[in-house]
Amino acid sequence: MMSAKTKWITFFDSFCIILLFIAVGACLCKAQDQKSVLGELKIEGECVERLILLGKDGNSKWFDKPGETIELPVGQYQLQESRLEEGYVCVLGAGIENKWITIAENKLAVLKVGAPLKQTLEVKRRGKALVLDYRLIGIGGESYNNNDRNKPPKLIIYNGDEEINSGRFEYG
Amino acid sequence: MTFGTLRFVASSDIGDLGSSQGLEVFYKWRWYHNIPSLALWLTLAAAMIIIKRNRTLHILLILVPLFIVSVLWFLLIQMIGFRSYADVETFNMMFNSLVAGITFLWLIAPKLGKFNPWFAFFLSFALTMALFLVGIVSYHGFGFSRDTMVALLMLAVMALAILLGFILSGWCCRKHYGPVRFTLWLAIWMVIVCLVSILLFYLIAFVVEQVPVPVSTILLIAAAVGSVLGVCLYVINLPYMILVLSDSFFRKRFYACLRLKATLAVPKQNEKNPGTLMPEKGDTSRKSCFGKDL
Repeated sequence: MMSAKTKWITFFDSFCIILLFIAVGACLCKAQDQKSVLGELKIEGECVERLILLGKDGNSKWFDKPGETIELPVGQYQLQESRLEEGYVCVLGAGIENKWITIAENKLAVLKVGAPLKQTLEVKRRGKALVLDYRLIGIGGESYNNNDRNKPPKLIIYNGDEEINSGRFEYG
Repeated sequence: MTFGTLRFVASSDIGDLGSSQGLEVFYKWRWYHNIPSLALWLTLAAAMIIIKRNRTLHILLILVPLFIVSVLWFLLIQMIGFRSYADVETFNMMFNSLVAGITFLWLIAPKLGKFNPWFAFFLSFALTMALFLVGIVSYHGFGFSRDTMVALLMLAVMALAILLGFILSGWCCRKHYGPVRFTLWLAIWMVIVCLVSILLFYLIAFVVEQVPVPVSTILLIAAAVGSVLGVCLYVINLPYMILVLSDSFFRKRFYACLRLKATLAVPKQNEKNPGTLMPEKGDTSRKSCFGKDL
């Protein structure tokens, strides 16, 4: 049969062990934070309002109005989202290629993203029809969209110097 | 008729993000781009001229079912009212390639009858696929995209359904042949072959692409697509069958291809049975309907 005093000691011992675990865990976390070495990423491009980078560990890093260079922990990242002025956006899987950038200590990595944008057209023939695919391409090759659908791009078609047709593109 | 070098200029006001005028793109639109199915019809014309047994005015009758299904197709397209003309052209490419393929098969039929049935099957499949490629290139050019590959695969399924449909229907009619009986078996086998091919295609795509969709849904979609494709194929093929079974010139080709010639020479054995009674196995005095290979 256990006395009241023994019960109290057992409870106190358990409490100490839990405290010890918490303290050790906190120390390990702090050590981990101190270990995370930073690297530099140079942004080659203009007018970037927001940049989201996806780390290989699955965590995203947000940068609002990033400057010419940004600091982030060493590792591998890919562009998840780029938001430019006037509402132009591109996201991973819809305009951004799955390309990894390695951030290393004492080595400047470069990410090409943003303006100046190029307006491109791809022409494909389908029988008697021509399918025209319009894209806004950033300097890194990423393709931008704008949610404002009120001003679709304009198109003029010439045969030699003669204008034979003109109109506006449809979204979708 | 438009032709020449077309210049496309896109523009949009994108503010400080770049120039408001896009890059100029040029496309050389040739005169024959206005008649994309021209290469298919030229191939058919070549088959009519090159094959000696086609050098008769009677061969032009094969254009009647071609005309009928083309008119029906035109009406169907008008009824559906596609939103994009490019989609209409993709379907036109598949339809024109298919009907040109069926017509081509009847034009080369006298040559096919000379070969071993299985060799004839593979040869006609290869030639039909080559014609489909001609159709695809004349409509889309040489830039093969994913859409083009899917269209080619669908056409391959239809070519397989037509050829296997004929062989299996002939096999089912090997004892009692009759035109109605044959066309009914053809309907069944065309739908079955389409169904099985589409099912296999969807299952392979499901495994390769690892689409997060239940297998039951895939099976249901494949069954629906396969059945519709089979029925459409049969309807397109039906005017050709009516011509072939009603006109002696084409009927001869049909019998020669399916090795039915010898059995037709057999006198009527049963007045009540409208179909031709086939010889029993082992009867060496008469050749079997499909020869020993089938």
